[in-house]
Amino acid sequence: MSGAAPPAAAASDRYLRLADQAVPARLTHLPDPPPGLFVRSADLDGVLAAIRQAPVVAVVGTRRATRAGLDFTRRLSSELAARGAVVVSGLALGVDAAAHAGALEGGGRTVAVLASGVDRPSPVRNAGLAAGILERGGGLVSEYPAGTEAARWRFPARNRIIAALAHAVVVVEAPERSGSLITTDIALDMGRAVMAVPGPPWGRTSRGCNALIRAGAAVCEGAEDVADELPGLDWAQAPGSGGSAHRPVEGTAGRVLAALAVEPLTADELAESTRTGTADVLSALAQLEVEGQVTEAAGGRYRATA
Amino acid sequence: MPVVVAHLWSPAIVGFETATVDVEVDLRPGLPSFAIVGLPDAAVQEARERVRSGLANQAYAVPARRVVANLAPAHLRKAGPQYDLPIALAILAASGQVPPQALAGVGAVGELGLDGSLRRVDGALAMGEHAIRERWRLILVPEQNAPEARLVGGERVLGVRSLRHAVDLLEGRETAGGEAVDVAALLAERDVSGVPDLRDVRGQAAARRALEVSAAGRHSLLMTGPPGAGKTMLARRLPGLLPPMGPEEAIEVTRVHSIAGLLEPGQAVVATRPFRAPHHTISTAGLVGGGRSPTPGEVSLAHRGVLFLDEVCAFAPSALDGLRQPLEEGRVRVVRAMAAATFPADMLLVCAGNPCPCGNADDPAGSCTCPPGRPEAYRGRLSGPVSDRIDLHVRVPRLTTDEVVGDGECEPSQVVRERVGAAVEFRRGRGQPMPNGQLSGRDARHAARPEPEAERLLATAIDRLGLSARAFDRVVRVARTLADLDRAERVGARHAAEALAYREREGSSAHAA
Repeated sequence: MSGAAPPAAAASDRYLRLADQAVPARLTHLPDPPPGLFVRSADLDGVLAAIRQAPVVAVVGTRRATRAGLDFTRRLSSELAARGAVVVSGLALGVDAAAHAGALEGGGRTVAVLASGVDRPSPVRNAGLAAGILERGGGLVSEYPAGTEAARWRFPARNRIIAALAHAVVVVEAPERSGSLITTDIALDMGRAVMAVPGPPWGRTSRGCNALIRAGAAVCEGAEDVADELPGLDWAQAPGSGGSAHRPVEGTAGRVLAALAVEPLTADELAESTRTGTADVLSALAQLEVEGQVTEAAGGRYRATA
Repeated sequence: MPVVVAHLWSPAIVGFETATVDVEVDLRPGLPSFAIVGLPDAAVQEARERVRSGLANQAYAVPARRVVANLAPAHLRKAGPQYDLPIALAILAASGQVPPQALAGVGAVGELGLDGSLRRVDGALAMGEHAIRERWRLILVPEQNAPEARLVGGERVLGVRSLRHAVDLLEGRETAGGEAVDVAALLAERDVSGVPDLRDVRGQAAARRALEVSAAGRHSLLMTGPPGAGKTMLARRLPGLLPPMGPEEAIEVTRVHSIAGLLEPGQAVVATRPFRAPHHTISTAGLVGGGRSPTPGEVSLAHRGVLFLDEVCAFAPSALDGLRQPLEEGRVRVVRAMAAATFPADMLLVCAGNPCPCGNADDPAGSCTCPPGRPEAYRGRLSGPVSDRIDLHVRVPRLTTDEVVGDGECEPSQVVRERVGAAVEFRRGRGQPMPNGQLSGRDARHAARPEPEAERLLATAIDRLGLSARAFDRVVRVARTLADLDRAERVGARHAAEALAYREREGSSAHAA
């Protein structure tokens, strides 16, 4: 076993043959199923049980995503995780990484399907993310034995496992010829739900998604849409529907929060729309940010988290 | 003709210091010749031709003897054409065309034209100062340099038009208007019409506020935003927000600019705070100072003013690294093969950068076309010594059309400057002479005396926002300045919160990006 990637403290590996009870039967629906899967997790039984029982949603998209796309991906995954779903993706840069990170933020388990051995998650830039996935009860999954290096030609094969594990595949941003579309092709063949996030017609990264929608894919504008698409699965109560953790806010902070509930705004725009001085707006924003009610989005804009 | 050794003094600029060069001329019998000794560089060697022509064309006799000019001390390298005038005067005295006693206690400096007229030299202010410190009776400087030399040198400075004019002054046939200069009066009548005003900047309220905080606490500032958002325009307005320079500051600044040869002919003083905006292709020596004999770099030319680095991520890492000492100590030590020199470099650093190489990473509408990793690698170039010293981070978004076109009077610099001045007064009143931006983390925490609520907020922030110790110190320094702007003895919750809004925001989204 190579010591190249620092394994999480308590993570352990297991090889599961396809016939193993722990492997979800969905995987056998593949026309060319792998003989088995290598799984690494700090909580092997927990993560395998989650894959068998909870809604499993694949969130995939281009490596070269826009900031707005990445923000949306994080939010979507975080909400999915908060609703009890397992988010599956491929640990690639861009949308994949945002999907895993969002799921961790939402407090959920997330599974990364690798095109390399589970002992050397790639790309290296996401090694920290991989460690985070393990730490939080998620898993790394691969059909290749330890020591296998990632290779481009393995990506489509990896994608078929993502499609097979998931109940639904959501494509956030994808250009016309994207690997994500391989995943959706396989998912369609297997009868999985395929959803796409609509994008502006002028965006390079919207083409693939909009083409999917034109071809009949369901529109995904948030976790709610995914839950609606997969009824009958074990969805948790949507958070926020019963009593928010956030206390009501008054004064400038309250006005700022109310304005942000409508759309993300810059500090300048907030000062304008709440008719408050810039210094007070900045002060209120930082306080809300510390409380976790507001985060910074792209381009110096702020948005409400709740 | 009696053979005598004539001598007088000449001031030399050595880095940022001055030294006395003793100029001696001896006339020996023998074949006519002219030698200059005493470690002269090529420009000093060429003085022979200028002095010979100058003497002849001002109707003086060129002695038909072996002329030896010695520049002492011999170990000091003499550079530049500034020894023409003293050598010429010493020759006149040695050959009896000027009474040698006329040169007693006299220093002289100046480049001669072939017609015997005088040309300006660099560093005249420091030379006038040197004359006072060394108690010289008089110092002759080219007329164009006289105003700056008089800033400190006062009435001992005589402005000279030509070689003959110099002799007339020395022999008392003519009097020069050698009078002291009142720096305060010069500053009072300074022309500030060329200083850009905040009134002309539309929108960008957050960035305007950051400029005000920067000016009040001398906090360095980084503006991030897409091209065309107005970062440069904003930065240019910062010098006008700082309190006007007092006489001492103005003299310091003028001394640097004088040594660098940047004063206009006849200009007495640099009256407004400098704004230096070097291009990102600048070398390390150009930025921090250097050259064979050290000359001031941009950090020193921005002394008491603003150093603006646009496209900061495009600067050579080694050049940015050179900013460490100036930012920490307010001066820079330049060590070269020939000599070492220390220049003042107490400037306010303002950087501007695009969020990524293509500039659109932040644009919610247009998508960024940089390959993954590029934006992070690009921003990473700023990390380390420089970003550690940047207290204020502010986003400068591109304005929408209505914001640009919309009317309504914007606040003029004058009003902001008054608030800044009041904050500086308040800080001094607290018994703290040093600007908040230059406080150590410990001193800043001590000066902040946060109220309990502010303390709670800061503690939560460390936890929730993952502030590092250094980032925390920067927040405290800025919060102290915000409290000063509010004339509050202690840092309140809203000061702490606003300071948090100016923190560095990176790493928080590293996973997704």
